[in-house]
Amino acid sequence: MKVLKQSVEIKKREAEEKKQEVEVIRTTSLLMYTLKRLSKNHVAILGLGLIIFVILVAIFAPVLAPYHPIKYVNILKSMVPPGKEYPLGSDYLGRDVLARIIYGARISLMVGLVAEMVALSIGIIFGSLAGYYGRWIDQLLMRITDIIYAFPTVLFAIAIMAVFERPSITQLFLVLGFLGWTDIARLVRAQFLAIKEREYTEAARAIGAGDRRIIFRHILPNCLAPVVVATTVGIAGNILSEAWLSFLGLGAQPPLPSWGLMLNEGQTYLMAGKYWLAVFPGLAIMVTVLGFNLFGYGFRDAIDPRLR
Amino acid sequence: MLLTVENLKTYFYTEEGIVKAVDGISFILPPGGTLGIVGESGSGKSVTALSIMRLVPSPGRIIGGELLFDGQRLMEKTEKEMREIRGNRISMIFQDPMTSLNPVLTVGEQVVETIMLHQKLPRRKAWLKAVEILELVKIPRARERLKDYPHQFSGGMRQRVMIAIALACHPRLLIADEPTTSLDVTIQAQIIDLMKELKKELNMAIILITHNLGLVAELCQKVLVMYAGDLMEYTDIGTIFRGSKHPYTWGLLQSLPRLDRPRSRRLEQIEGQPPSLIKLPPGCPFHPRCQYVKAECRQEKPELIEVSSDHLVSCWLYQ
Repeated sequence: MKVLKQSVEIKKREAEEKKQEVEVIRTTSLLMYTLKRLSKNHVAILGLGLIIFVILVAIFAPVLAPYHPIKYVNILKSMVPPGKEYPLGSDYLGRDVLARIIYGARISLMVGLVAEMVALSIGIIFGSLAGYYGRWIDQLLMRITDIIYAFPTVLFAIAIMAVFERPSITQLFLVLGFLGWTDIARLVRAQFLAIKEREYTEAARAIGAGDRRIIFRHILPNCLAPVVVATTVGIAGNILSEAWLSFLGLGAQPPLPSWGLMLNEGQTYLMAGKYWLAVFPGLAIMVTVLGFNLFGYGFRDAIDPRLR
Repeated sequence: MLLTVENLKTYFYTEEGIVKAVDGISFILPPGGTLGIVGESGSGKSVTALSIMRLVPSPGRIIGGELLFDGQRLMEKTEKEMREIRGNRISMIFQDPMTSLNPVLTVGEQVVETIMLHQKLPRRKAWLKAVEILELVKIPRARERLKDYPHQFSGGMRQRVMIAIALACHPRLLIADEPTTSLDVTIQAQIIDLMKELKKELNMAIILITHNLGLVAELCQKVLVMYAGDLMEYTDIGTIFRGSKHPYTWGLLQSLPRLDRPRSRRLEQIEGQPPSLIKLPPGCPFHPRCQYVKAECRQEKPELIEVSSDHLVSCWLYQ
């Protein structure tokens, strides 16, 4: 009887301990903390709202678009101004401008995000290695960065895209990513230079942390605030770049519903008073770019626990 | 002996010349012993500490000497082997607790990181251990505070966290580099009391680096007085206050405020500035500021001699 009582008690205690353990592990992550602070920043929320709006439009394009963006062609109904039949008018082939803008969100977001991922990967690797190790590694990597940086972006992009016989979206990712990483590399390097001298980096070394741990766990997260800003602004920049490259005929090719391409097609008719062909794609670009930029700057204020 | 430092030389190779930050320091520390290293700013105290950890920042290099820790030659260890020692068997506390905690990691994550770097423990166990250690350094509501970020702690509490991180793996040796300099006096007293208590409880050796002889008196058995990267005097704490032999030590003692002297009296100061470590004066490095300077002082460095048992002095007055 007594033994039984004891064992019950031990079990009870064990359960209690386990409960406490679970409590301990549930820490507030940096992400939660950031989101909490982000929710108080109206500008960032507005930006985030715009981004989410564009993303939702891209995802639900087939549901939202009244017509198919490419396949629906009706020459008899070309150049119809915005109205009941075509909410934002139709183009010279009689395609629905609204449907094309809705599908265009997919292209713009895809180019913006994927190209930025490419830029981010190269930039973070170059920047952190150069900043952390210094000496000849820094010299080598930063001179490479300088060389890439020194190319006139516009010409370089045009030159590369022109090399391909038939430019495609995939090539666009690579070209924009390849051109966009230098800013991030320099930013990350500058951050590393500053943060590797901080006492907490020394303290990390003093607890026996190795280079990799110090770079990825101790220094990199501390660089994140400006990198996030640069990333969101970079996404916006990529969307713009895609637009003008397509505008110049070097990005997305007809009949893809790219906003830049639509601008290109629409500008011819702008003088003739057919404003809807150019204005609405332009607005779409503006809203998306604005969303990313607003979010970027709001995020910067929110992510850094020290900026209060 | 837990730690034997023999003729340690750490130089910095800068563009202006070679900075002899530590130039031939020797001392021993028994297990559980306490040693205070005192001296002015730039006398090589911190570099000595970093040298023991083999963490001298570039362009500095340990160019000579022997570091024996627990019978092992630290100078022969690879970087990987040193990493296993750092934070595990030798720990360090830094001067400024406001900047030595990583602002983007919670305090708990930082304590747990140290534990998990050195011990094969499941995360859950490491967290529980972290709670224990935070309780050990007397942080109230340790369990909840683990989830907080460093900026949510006060200076004194952060230094307790630093101590907790340093003690997480029960090191044999704790190096405290001016652990209270950036704290106000009441907090200083608390931290020193805590260190005293923990020392007794955990039986670890402590090297306390400071320019505050009062702190040394509180915590240390032995004192090493450094000047311009060199050892001036080494003895036990009582002798420092009652029978120190080196003029530099006298200068340090006279510059302390005293309760038993009239307040109207000005504090004595050591005239002049510490010398540039790139261009050390010939002979005894202290001679340009020494009141008792003799002809020999200007020409040759005095030998370190044992004036009485356990009392080493490097000065021409006793040669």
